[in-house]
Amino acid sequence: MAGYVLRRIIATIPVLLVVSLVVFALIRLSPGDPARLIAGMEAEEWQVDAIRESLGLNRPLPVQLGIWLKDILRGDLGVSIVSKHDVLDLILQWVTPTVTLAVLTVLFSLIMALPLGVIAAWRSNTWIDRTIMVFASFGFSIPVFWLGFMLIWLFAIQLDLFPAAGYIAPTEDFLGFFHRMALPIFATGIIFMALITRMTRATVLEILREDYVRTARAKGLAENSVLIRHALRNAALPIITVVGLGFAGLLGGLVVTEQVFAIPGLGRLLVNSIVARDFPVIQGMVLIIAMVYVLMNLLIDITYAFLDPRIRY
Amino acid sequence: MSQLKWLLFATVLAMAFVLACGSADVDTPVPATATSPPAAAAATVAPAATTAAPAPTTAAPVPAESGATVASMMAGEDKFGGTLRVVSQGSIKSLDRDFSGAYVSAAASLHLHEPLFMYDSDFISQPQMVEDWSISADNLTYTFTIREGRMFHDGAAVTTEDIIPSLERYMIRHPAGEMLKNFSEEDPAVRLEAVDDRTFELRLKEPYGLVVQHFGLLRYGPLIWPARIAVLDPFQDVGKENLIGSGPFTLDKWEVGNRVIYVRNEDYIPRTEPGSNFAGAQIPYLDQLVILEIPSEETKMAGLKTGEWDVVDGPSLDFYQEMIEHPDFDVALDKPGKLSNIGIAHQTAPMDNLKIRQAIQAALNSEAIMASLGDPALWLLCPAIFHCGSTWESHAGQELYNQNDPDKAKRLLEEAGYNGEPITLINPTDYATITPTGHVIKAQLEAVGITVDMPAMDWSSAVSRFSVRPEPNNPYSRDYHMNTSWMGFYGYQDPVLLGIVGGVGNNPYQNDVMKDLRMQFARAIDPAEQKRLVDEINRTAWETVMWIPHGQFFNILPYSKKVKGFPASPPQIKGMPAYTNVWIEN
Repeated sequence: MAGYVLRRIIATIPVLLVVSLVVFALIRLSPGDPARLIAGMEAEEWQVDAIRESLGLNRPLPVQLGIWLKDILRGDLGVSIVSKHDVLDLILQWVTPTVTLAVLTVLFSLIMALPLGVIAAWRSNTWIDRTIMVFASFGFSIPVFWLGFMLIWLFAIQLDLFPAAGYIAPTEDFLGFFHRMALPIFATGIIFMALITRMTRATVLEILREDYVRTARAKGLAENSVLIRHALRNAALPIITVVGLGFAGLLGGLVVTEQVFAIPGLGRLLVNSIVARDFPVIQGMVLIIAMVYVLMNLLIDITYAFLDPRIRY
Repeated sequence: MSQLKWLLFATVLAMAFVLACGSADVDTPVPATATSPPAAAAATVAPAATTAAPAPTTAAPVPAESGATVASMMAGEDKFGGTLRVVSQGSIKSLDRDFSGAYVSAAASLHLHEPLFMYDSDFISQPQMVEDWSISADNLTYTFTIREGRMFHDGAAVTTEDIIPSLERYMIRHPAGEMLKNFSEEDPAVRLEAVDDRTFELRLKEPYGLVVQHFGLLRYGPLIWPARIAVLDPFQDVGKENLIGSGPFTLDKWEVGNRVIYVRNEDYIPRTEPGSNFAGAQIPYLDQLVILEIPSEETKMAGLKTGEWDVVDGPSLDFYQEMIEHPDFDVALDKPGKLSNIGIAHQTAPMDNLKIRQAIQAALNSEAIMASLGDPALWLLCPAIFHCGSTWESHAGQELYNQNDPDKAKRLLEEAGYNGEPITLINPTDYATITPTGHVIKAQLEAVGITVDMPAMDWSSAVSRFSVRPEPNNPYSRDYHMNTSWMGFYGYQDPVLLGIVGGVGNNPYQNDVMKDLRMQFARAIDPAEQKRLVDEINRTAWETVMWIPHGQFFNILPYSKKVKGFPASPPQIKGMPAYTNVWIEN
């Protein structure tokens, strides 16, 4: 196992290198001049050139790439050309809201989706199953931004039960943090919940047809014991895959939720940086997200080995 | 195992590449040298001789009495207290207004500093940090004395040792400062000299009538920094740790991308005259001023309604009617507003043909264009290129404005020999106060037979497109023909500030008559002469189709009725929202 983990970690290096090269090329070749955006429309050409030179943007692209890669090897993601803040500091500052929102979204989704998926499979082809699947389809189809605005309109403006937007750190106000996160968690969780519900139903339904489940029932085991100890446990592997990859995706994919609810997370940081053509921040964030995806894959594979004794690396 | 070998080889190869190319480091900020811009050609023109006494273009200097600090004013005054939460127009990427040209940076950092002069409600530049000033009889020497007791937020006194490098920074970084430098003595030690800790002299080599008026500019006037910060490279952000001013608010916290928190500077000494916009007494009644970043327009308004925040700066104009009818809110209008217009790439064929430009000018229905922005209460038609409702409003040449004459346009196109070649109109897809105008303009031009190509792109891409030079050796070349935009008004506009008049910055509009008129304006001291020149510039702009203005629209500032102190009735914003002299009524 240790050797396998080491091989996988080493394998991330060329993956990250390729990701770095691709993102560097894409953003440098796409239209956008950060120097002009910083200087403003009324600035003269020589002022824009001066800004470009001070930011190192007039250097040849291979040199810029080399400098950036060298800095990465030292653990330095560079400095934002717009705000002059250290890129890693920016990411660390903005990562907490996104991670907390992603974790809470996943937890909320699992708590709701697993029982629903198991029940749907257990009562397949009944009205219970159809109702749950309609709900799941609906949840999967709703645009997050629409749902977010509807939740704000209903629960914040009309009923005055929740704040409309904003973020407070849990260390600053623990209850206030949950109060503010309730609507964003629900808005994003509905979609994730729908996905897990469908995945759970499909997997459990397949397992319930297995011989060992028939044997368990024949032995006289209680139905809930059959469902939870046998069916759900064996359905864990594909569900974990979806949850793991979904969590990684949420880290960069919560941008719409963060925009609607004004949460200062990684998604907003990425969007703002793209609009401003803040190259170091964009490059650093894409690299971090790629790293998270790769490590999440590794974590999933390691989890497989713990859950299924038959899997050995 | 062989796989591992390949992986290691790839890694070593990558590191070799990095070492080969990554040899240079980005320069760290260094004190700016006096890197001069290309000298304005007009600077070599002999100065206009004048023996007339200087006719001040600003109100007479008001001697400031030594006033009380804010701390001593607080006792027994109910207005002090509370936190005002303001939603910014956009994302605040910098609080260094010298570095960033963005409105949101200027608006968010306005109260951090106390400039030498600031605009009153009539957009006249009034002394703020300055106590007294005078001009020599020959109009070549300005003497300024600052008020006593000026202190930076770090406790250091503001002296001429800070002011002089701050003004040198202004002369490098801003177009108005650049023009001032062109009129000033060449030797830095001569052009700005300290008389004592509070008094300094500005020496010109020829008369320049805009010194004081430009010192009060809300977005592009000089900021007074501590000397160690003023000497840093003005083309780099000074950095969060150097955001030190001497204004009525100090920076408490900046959570980048989330909020900026200012607290009252209780050591600040306001002027004693009544407050008028940014001039006179600027009293920080608020304990805290919090500027929030909320990306979504709908969320901005939702939070205002639920009381999460108190003011929203510049939301979509679509919300105006709803907010004006709401019993709990007022809406201040930013007047005289922004000038919606079409920019033209004059040296890109066929836009280099005057008749083609005149045809486009004749085809346009400005009223329909402005109506695309929303409620008629939020815009007005105006032929003045320096804004209606401002110091230099001129209607000269207005017969060429809003012609809405398709027949004339078709005739001009025929005379010009237009053969249907596509005209590229750059119109961003994500700018609420620009995007609608492009669609109306396209339809109007197509109705007279002009083929219009309007590629879809966001604002950032559009700005970058403006910098593209298809002919590397021709700074006036462009790969588009027209673009939709607006010209902001932050208290003042004149031919010197409006660079296109002089064709500065490699602007495709290069008109020698206009360049000469601009320099004449810069040298003029007599207001009547300045007015005459503005009229001539306005007319020439219309006749040569410098650009095509449509009208002015007003940004809106909805706010809770518990917020008191915004000027005028109905409430207005004059250039930028000011949060001094504003308080919260419990």
